[in-house]
Amino acid sequence: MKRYLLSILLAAAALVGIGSYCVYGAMNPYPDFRMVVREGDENLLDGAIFGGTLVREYGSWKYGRYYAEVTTEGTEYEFERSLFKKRNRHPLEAELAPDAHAFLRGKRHHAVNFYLDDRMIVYGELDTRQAGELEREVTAMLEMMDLATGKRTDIRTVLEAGTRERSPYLADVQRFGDELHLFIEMENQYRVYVLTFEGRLVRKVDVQLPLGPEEEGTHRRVWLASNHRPHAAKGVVGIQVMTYGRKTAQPTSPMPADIYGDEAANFVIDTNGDALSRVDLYVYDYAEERIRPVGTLHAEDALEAGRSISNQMTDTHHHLVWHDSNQLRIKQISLSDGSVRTSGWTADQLGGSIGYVTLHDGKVYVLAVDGNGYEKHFAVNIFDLDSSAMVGKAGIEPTIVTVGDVSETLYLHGLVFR
Amino acid sequence: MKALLKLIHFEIHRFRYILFGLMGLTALVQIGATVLIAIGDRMERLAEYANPEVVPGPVSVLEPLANNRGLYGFPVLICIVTLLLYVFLIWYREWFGKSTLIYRLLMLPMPRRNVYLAKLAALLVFIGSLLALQLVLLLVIRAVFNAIVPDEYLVAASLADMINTNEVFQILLPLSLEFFVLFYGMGITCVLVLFTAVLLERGRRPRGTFLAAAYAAGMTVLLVGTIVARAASLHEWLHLYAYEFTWILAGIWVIAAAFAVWLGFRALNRTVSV
Repeated sequence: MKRYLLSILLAAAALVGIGSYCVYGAMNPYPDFRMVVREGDENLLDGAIFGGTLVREYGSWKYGRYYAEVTTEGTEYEFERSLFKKRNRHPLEAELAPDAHAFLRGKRHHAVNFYLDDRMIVYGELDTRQAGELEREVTAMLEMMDLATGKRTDIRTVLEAGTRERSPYLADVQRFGDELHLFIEMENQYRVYVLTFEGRLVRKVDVQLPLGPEEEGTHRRVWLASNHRPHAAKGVVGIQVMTYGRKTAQPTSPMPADIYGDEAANFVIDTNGDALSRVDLYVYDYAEERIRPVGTLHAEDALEAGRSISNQMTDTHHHLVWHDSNQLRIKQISLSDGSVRTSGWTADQLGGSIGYVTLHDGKVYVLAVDGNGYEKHFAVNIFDLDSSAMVGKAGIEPTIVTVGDVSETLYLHGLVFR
Repeated sequence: MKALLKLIHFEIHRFRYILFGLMGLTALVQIGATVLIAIGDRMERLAEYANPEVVPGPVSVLEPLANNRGLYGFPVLICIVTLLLYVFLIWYREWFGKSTLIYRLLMLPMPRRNVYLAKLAALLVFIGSLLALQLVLLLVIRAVFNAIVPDEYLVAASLADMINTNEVFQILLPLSLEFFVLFYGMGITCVLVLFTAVLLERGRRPRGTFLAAAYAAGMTVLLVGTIVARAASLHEWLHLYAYEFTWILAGIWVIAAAFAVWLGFRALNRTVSV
């Protein structure tokens, strides 16, 4: 035995050393933050994931940044994220029966590409191919599944042959009777293609906005309104005409504006530093196959340059939500009569300085932060868009972040739903 | 089993001087660097302390670790390179030496696979013991630093943060058990592939060289390909979810490891002869 002492000692040291380290790692030496719903329905934050960074500071020396995701179930740090577990749930999985989940395989997560009702699910994509020196062929690729029988049908239909449009964008898919309506944006021109289930192109509808010439000193940009349930059956598609006027601050972004995902489009000041002065809302009505004006939201002091504005259309209203660190305002316009209502909250009412605002499924999630170097309080305020009423409040625990000279501070910088 | 354990001990015993040398080098460099840095810091602080206008800030062992990544990582890299070279040497030394030991090893009254397994096990012991040493050294470094720096300036640092200061430590000592198994599983597979390539070369000389090169190249393409495929999100083209793709890739690595072991045993039993 003595003869083999070296091997025994080395093997034992390796096993004990690595084993104890694995136990140490499993104990996770980092804090476990957790979202806690304090008011309202406990399910309000189901699927909500707050992305953040835990920063550890030793005395005055900042050290250690760990990306973390905080949910109602706890915190998952990047280093402990398993590669072998399903992470990104498709947004439609919750609405589909499990046996229909296979339909979602390999398809994009953008809900605008889907249409779902109690009878069928449809998925659409556009394929653009070079058809000449400058010309392109745009083909719609649609996949449908009958929810009752599970029968799938694929169709490919050439929508445009010889177009010069560069990047057509499928903004909405709808079914009406035995027809499919594809709302497509091509460089700010909108067109609806109506197809049969067999893939025959029945008609094209050009969506022309009744816009006059631009007033002097102003210019316009046209954006599709984001919808709170892009895949659901709906009668209209919203179109916002943003008019920029007064010269204000210097531009803060080199890009004129940016669209973030399907759920909320954000508008900032444009490249000239002009501020948004009014928003004219139109809707394209699928049944009537024509455009109609809904109303106008006029600029007020809150629509100044530099403020981020999000929008979302529900079944009854269109909403503009904007904020800075001190206030949040929601302006809504009724789709039926064009009436306008404005609601506002201050940072004090929301529980701290407003960090960011997320619109999801007809609700506004507002993250407010309050605290000092020793404690940090996060308040998540949840509003229903249509009623502008607060429907819930949540926070993050624990709030104590400093132990001795070592402080652990959580910075949250985004909210997504999975 | 007893014969296998004896062979493992034999392999460990043969490498002991190099192993202790590597351990000594790592300990010397890392502890020595910590002592010098901590003393330097202490002197600096004492000088600052004499000046009433300057208030020195608190300090932790993370500072020297983070500011001298190369210094602390250098001996670890030396260990890695040495072990990597030894993957080849552990076989070739049997053929190229004062006495060609392979004749005796292959004629031992036991299955030849024991020779293969003993060399693999010995390498795992070397890796494991060096890792264990590094863990202990991190604790020693912290203790040494804390002992030298005056208490009033000292801030305690956690082991996890110490590891996170250096990319080399991060890769060698991942906090997550899953990544630990993944990294070392991949490493062991690579060792198995190299073992098999060596045996193919030894078994069918001179054309074995081409056979081994072709095998090693094929496995490199396959295994590196899985990493590239994962990084390039190939699963989206294949209409798979990311986690499903990960399972498939992990399966490829396991199959590659099993194939390497099977081929290595086969070469050792059939083509490597005395």
